[in-house]
Formats: sequence, C-alpha cells, structure tokens
Amino acid sequence: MSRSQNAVELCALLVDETYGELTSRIFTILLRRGKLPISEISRHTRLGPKATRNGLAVLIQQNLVYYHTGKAGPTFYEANDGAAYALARSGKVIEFVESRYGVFARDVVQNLFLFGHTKVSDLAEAYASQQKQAAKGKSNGHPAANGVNGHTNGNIGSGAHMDGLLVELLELGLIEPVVQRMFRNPADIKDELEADITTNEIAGGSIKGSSKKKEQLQGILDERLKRIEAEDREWRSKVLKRPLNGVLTNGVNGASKKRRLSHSGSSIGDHNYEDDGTRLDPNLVIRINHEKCAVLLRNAQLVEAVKNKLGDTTSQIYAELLKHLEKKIPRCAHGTTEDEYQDRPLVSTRDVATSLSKSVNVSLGIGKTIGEGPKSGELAGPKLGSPPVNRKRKAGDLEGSGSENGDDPPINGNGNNHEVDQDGDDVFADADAVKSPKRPKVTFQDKLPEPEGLHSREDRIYHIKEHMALLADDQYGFVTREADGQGAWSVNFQKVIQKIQEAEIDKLVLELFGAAGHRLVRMLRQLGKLDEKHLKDTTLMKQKDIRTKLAEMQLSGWVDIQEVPKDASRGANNNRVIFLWFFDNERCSSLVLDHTYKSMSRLLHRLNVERRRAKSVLELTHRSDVRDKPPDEYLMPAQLNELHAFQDREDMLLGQLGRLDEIVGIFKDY
Amino acid sequence: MASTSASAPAAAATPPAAPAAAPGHDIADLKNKVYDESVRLTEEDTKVVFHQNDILDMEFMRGIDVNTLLAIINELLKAKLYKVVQDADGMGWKTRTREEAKRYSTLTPEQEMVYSHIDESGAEGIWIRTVKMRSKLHDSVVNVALKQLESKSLVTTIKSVEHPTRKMYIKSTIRPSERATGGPFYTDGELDEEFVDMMKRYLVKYISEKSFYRSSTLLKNANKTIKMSAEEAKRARNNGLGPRRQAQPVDNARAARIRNYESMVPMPHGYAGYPGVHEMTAMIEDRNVTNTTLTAAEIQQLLDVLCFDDLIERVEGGKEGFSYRALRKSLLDDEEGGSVLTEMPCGRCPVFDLCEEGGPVAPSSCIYYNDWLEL
Repeated sequence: MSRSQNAVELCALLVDETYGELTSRIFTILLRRGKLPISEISRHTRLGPKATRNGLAVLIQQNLVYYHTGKAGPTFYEANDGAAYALARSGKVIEFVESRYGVFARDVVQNLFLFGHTKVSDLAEAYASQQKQAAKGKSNGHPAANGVNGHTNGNIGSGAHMDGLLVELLELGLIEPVVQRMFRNPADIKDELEADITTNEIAGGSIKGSSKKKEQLQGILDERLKRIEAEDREWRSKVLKRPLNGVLTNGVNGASKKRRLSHSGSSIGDHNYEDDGTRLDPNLVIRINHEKCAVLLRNAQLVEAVKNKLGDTTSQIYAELLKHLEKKIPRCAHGTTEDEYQDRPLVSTRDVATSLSKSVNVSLGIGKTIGEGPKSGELAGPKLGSPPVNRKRKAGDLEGSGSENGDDPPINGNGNNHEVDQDGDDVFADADAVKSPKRPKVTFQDKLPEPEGLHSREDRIYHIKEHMALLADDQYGFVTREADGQGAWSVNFQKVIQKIQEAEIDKLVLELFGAAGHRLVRMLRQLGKLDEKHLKDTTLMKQKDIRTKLAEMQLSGWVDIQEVPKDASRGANNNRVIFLWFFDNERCSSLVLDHTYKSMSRLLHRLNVERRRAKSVLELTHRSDVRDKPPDEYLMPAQLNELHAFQDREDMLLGQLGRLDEIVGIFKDY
Repeated sequence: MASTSASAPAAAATPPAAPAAAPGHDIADLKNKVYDESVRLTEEDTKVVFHQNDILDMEFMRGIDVNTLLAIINELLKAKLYKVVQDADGMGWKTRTREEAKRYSTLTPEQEMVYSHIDESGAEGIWIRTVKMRSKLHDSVVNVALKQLESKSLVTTIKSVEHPTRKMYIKSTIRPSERATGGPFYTDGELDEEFVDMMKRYLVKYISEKSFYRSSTLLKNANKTIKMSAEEAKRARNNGLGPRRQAQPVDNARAARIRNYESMVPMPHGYAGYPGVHEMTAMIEDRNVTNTTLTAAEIQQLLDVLCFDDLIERVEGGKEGFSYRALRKSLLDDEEGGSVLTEMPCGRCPVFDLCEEGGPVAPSSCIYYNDWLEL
C-alpha cells in the first residue's frame, strides 16, 4: 500500500473502528514511524509498558503488526497496513462465504475474523460457547463491532461439521494454516534470503554490476520463495482419518456440494456438513487468507463487469468459469512475467457446462442472426441455410467426438456464408457453421421458454460456447482461447482489470467533467500526446471549449501538458514551443485511489460523529439489562426514531464504505 | 493557379500549334502561339513552370534567337498573360488565363501586387499581414489597395477556421478550401455543434438498431426482477414517507427503460451485420438526413468521436473489414451507471482538498454529508 497520508489515516481509523483506541494509537505510530522497538513505541504513544504490550498482543493476534527479533538486540515491530486495510473488506468476505457455503460457514468465518489467527480447537470452542449464549437468548446488539457480531441461530455447532467446512475452506484457500513466517514482513524475509544466497551459493560474493549473477540470484530466490510458500500451505497432513484422495475429489467433483446463491439464505438445514469422518488436527492454527479473498472478490467484480457489458446470462456462465479457475489462483499476481502468462490456469468449456447450474437458461442472452440476407437482427426475413435437420446430431455423438476442437469439416463447409470467420480460426467457424442448422429450434425456444430439462446436453454446450465466444470477442478480452484444441480458456486478469480501471476512470471523468472531458481523456489515452490543434480536429469541438476543459482537468491533475521547444532558446516566444497534452493512466489511478482512501476515512470520521450524536440512545441499547430485548420494547417512540435514524445513517455510511472498497480493489489489489 | 485552365475555353479549343518556321519573326503571332502552347501544357500539369529553354524547345520556336524570345516574353508579361516565378532552376514563367489577365490589366501597380499575392494563395486565402510583409508596401497603401479591390469585387474576406482571429482575403471567384472553412461541420467558421450532435445521435441510433437483439423472453422476465438503483431506492423510500404518487410515472418510464435495457442482448460471435463506414455514408445520403453531403471521411470522423465517447466500438469483420457496434451502455441515460465515488458527497466535493478533521472543512460539520445522510 502506498503510504500516502490518506492511506495511513484510513488504516488507523479502520483499526480504531474494529479494535478500539489503544490498538489504533500504537498502530498509527508504527505506520508513521516504521519499525520500532517496544520502548520507542511506548515513548511515542505515551502509554505505559503494560498497555503497550497489551495493545501489541492484540495487533499481533490480528496480524496487524509484524515483529522480528534480530540475532541480537530488541524485537522490532512494524505495521502491516495490508492487513489493516483488509478489515474494511471483511464484510464482503463474510457475505461471499454466506452466499456460497451458508449461514453456518458465515458464522465460522466471522469468528475467524474476530479472533485473527486461532487454533481449530479454540474456534470450535468459541462457536460452542456462542451457541450457549444464543440458547440463553443473547443476540447481537453491539453496533460498533462492524459486522462481527455473532448471529447464531442454528443448532449444528458440532466439531465435525466445523471440520468439514474448514477443510473445504482450506481447499479453496480462503483460510490458511499460520506459520512463523507470516509474522514477519515479507520484504524482510526476501532480503534475508537474498543475503543468504549471495553469500552461500553464488561464488564471488558480490553481485554488483553483473547482470548474469543478478539473474541467477533472482532465479534461486524465486524458487526458494515458492518452495517456502508451498511448504507453508501444506495442511493436508493435518487432516486426519481421511484419505488424501477423498479430499481431492471433494474439491474437484464436489458439484453436489456447490452451494448456490439461490439456495443460500434462510436455513442452515440446506447445508449438510455431514460427519464424514474428517477431522482436523485441533492444534492447527488457521487464519483468513486475505490474498485469496482478493481473488474471490475480484471474480465478483469481473462478473459484474460482464453483466453490464454483455448481459446477465453471459455473466452467470463467466461466474462459473471463474469458479473453476479460482482454486488454482492463490493471489492476484502483479507484474505478470512471460512464464506466468504461459502457465495461466485453464478451464474447458465442458467443465463449465458440467458444473453450471441447471437453472441458468443458457439459450438466452445472445441474439440470433437470420442468415446473411437481411442485415437486421429484428426483422424477420428469409432464413438462409436452415435445414430443419439438426446436422450436428447426425455428425455424431458430441461428447464422444470432442467437438469442441471443431473437427467437423463437412459442417463447416455446408454453405453458411459467415464471411467474418475467414480468419482461419476453425473452432469459431465450426461454432458458426452449426448455428444455422439449429436456428429454427432456438428461435422457437426464445418465444416459448421451456423448462430447463428439455435442453439437451449438446444444446447447452453449444450455447455456452457461444457465450464464451462473446466473452472472448469483447474489447475487454474477458477470456482468452488457448491454442490447445481442447476448447480450453484462460483469463488474463491483468488485462481485464486494466480495462476495468480505465472504465472506472472514464466514468469518474464523465461525471466530473462532462461528456467533453470524457471524450478528451479517452482520446488522449488512445492517441498519446496531442497538440491542441489536432485535438480540435479529432474531437469536433470548439477550440475554446477544449482549452477551458483541459485547463480545468489539468488543475485537478487528470491531464497534463508538456512543452516541447522547437529550438534551444526558451524565450517568451510562444510560437517556438509546442504544447502537448497527455493523459497518464497510472497517475490517475493513484489519484483515484488516494481520493478513495480519503473518502473512506471521511466516512469513518463521520460515522464516529454520528455515533457521538446518537450517544444517549446508543448507550441505552448497550445497557446490560436490555441488551437482549428488541429496542422497540423499552425505548420511547422519540428515542426509537432517533435510533432508527442513526441506524439508517450507519447503514448508509458503512454501505458506501464497502462500495468504495471495490474501487480500491480495482485500482490496487486485483 | 488551379482555376487558370478551367476558365480558358478558347485556349483549350485551339489545337496544338502546327510546326511552322516563322520567317518574319512575327512577334504578335509567336506570342499567341507560345501562349496557346503553354496553356495546353498547363492544362496537362497545372504546376508547370516554363523556363527559357522550355519555350525555346517548343517546335515552332526553331531558329529563333534569344532577343526575339525576350521580346515575346515581354509582350506576354505586358499583357499579364505570363507571370514571373522563381524556382530552383532560376527564373521562369507561369500562365494566366485571358480572363485573369484582363482583370490584372485594369489594376494599378500597387493593386496588382496585392492582388497577385491573394491570387497565389488560392483557395486557402491569405492573411492581411502576410500580404503586407511580402509586398513590402506601406500598410496604408495595402489597405487602400485592398479596399479598391474589394469594391471591384475581385477579393473578399473570409473567416478561416484555423486562424479565427486573422483577417483573411481570398479571390472572390473561388470558393474557400475545406481547410479554411473547416468542412461540412462548420457554419460561418464556427463549429456547428448542433449539427454534429444530431448526426451523432442519428448514427448511434442506426448502429444500435443493428447491434442488439431484443429477447422477448428476457423482456418478460425483466418485469419480475427490476433492480432499483440507489437513487430509485431513495425515491421509493421518499415515496413511502413523504408525498405519494408523484414520482410514479417517472418510475414507470424508467422501469420500462431498464426492462428494455435488460432485454437487449448482444449478437453472437461472428455476426456480420454491424454497419461499416461506407454503409452508413450511403445510408445518410439515401435517407436525406441532411442537406449537406457528407463524405465517408467525414462520417468516419463522426464515428471516431463516437468511439471516443465510448458509445460505440470498432470491431473487425463485416463487409468492409471494419464495422461498428454499439455498446450496451449507450442504451442507458447519462445519469445511470455513475461512479461509486461520485455517489457520495466526497466524490464531487469542491473543497475536498481542504477537508481535514479540525480544519475549516471537516467531515463532522460537512453540509454535503448532512444533505446526503438526511436523504
């Protein structure tokens, strides 16, 4: 995280919001001053040593602080701002878990958030005690605890269910086993390793000036880091009484276990974490894996983008595809190198088709072409090349023939004149060639939607392929076709996110500077640095308007100007200088990000203010004797109104906080 | 000199001069012959410049010495049929049409100098200061000359789009070039934004008709699941609390629009019906959308702007190699689909830079927040 003033402020506020003032004081000092030993911390915070130690303990528990003891000398503490920011995202993760795994899972994850890292046995115990509390009638009612208050309304709570769930979450990577390494700053670990490699493995010691040695070092370093990571993530040995295979199968074909959004919700009974003998080592220490959370939330963001660009049905298929990929992606990698590009995880059309919920009607969401004759999709016209027979079925069993790689030349050549497909991509050509023979049927279905069961498997695969082609075809390049001939797809996340970033900037510019500013910015982005005259010709705008708009945008930092003198004399003679306008995407991204941080911290500030204003009522609701009753039983109507007004505002502020977090995700984490 | 050849029908009709040795060196006759021949050559290549040798090489000039040539050329210059130019090969001459020559012959020397500069600038027009600089005449002389030329309606002022502040002159017989007028999107040197907007809207409508398929099933389904935007939710809540039934028709219109949006689905991959530039140029022409004729290049210009506006995008394919398709968001209004950041006051706060707890502007006392939180 860039340590801008606003980012620091936001992190401090988030810690304050979640864990109270003591911790946030220590945390802020650490953020502002970097690594400090404990004596320095207590000096700067003016806290006693005991309070400091208490605060640090909480922070370490939450992984908000890294610590490291050198070979000699005191232990240094360092703020982990990434973890602090993750606090803002906890609500979203919990929501995600609930939508996929149900209420029980939500409660478990909520507890994990509350505890930081914890032993499996402790988690189970906490859950059990919550159950007891729930049984006694204790419910929530602590508004300050930002979504971590326990709603416990089920009666499952047995350790076996918990273990089953945890295994599933570990499988997904949403939670991870905690190891010593995690309490140190990753950059430190890397430095140490680097030093170690330099002295022990590379002859000659110094690597200065030798690019070859540098490369060698980098290679060894990457390998070691990967190895360490792989070791750390190894948790399967801790699963007891269950063969490794079983776990894997559970992960891969667990279609029956996939919890769908539509099923989640009301009752826990939907989710049978049957006691299948899985037991986790009770001493295994686990925590939430924030990097993985980012991957999962990124998927949601991408699905949303597809929904806006292409439509609902396509987005559902995309969601399914991403779900297949998510297990193979431990984190949202930045700065992808060529090799990583090569080993991007793949998913095949068939896998998507297999696991896609039957409730998704894949035949919807794509227009139908009516041959080449009439150019309009809406007008009914003569349907060219549409024999009523389903040629595809005649051609053979679809599943058997592996038709995804388009090995059906007769169909390809049966006179469907799709001239666009002349680019030699026969997979696509096949898909199109098949289109015409099927058309009558499809059109019919669009008019009279039939129950999903009537769709044959081939039809589904065919439609899904169409949706995939649409995704691949889009400017954003949501999926990339892999050239292995098996109908495999991959996603170049960096590229798509980059596009979404640009779209986000565009939206903002459109709102702040109107259509004219929007047009100019997009133009400068696409065409690079431009002279005013050129701008005028291309934008079809008045020069005066352009200049005003650009100046306005320059003032707030969205575009900038560069002087290029025609000769060495940089006098006042303006004729001899060319002024070029340009737009810097990266700079604007950081601008937006900083703006967002600041907005978020203002929201939290305001929330505190609102809380102070509603203090009298809130204190009432926190009284121990009335805590468990619904507020309308003991509050006066006026007080009740005040409480509701406050709750509305709180919802509004926290809701907006969550939405702003999406922007931070887009611009930083994804 | 683009207009020279066009306005000399007499010269054009004359067949190439027959090769004939002129024993008596009839200067008037030779003069005409040289002139006709040079007009013919000028017709072939309007940029041609005649040098001494070029003229001597003409067939009928065989055996004519330099002095006679000098006399001939002097005659031509006196008649204003020739004008002197300098190029890389030294001095040379270019032709003028007889009509032009007649005009020149009525002018005073000062007027002639000024006029010749304006003449040379052709359809681009010339800036008055450039005339003064090149002719090296006194300002007042130039001004007087220009006034006289204007009164003879030989020259007119134009407004150049490129240099809107400069006073430009152009010969009154020719139309200013597109570079000077700015093309069909300009009226009187000003960009006609209304016209541009109208054409853009027309094109977007046309493209989007060909870019989406209206799914009747989704149209039906959409009725059941209309999502409320933040604003609409707000409005709905307001309706619940405050005055009722007022915003209802607005909501319905919006709901219909959303329904419409939801039911518009993209065309499948490989769809070839997206329109290309030429198709649209022809369409605009056929439908008589405008009195002005728009060329394909101008339609392209409009399409580029639409791309920059993020309303349409360019795709490979279609009959013309490239075609255009509308983006889904072009179906929505501007207000919908805004940024999350601008939904809240901070996103559009004019004093956001000053905002600081304890400062003059602070979240605790923020009036925008008050409005926002009160809804």
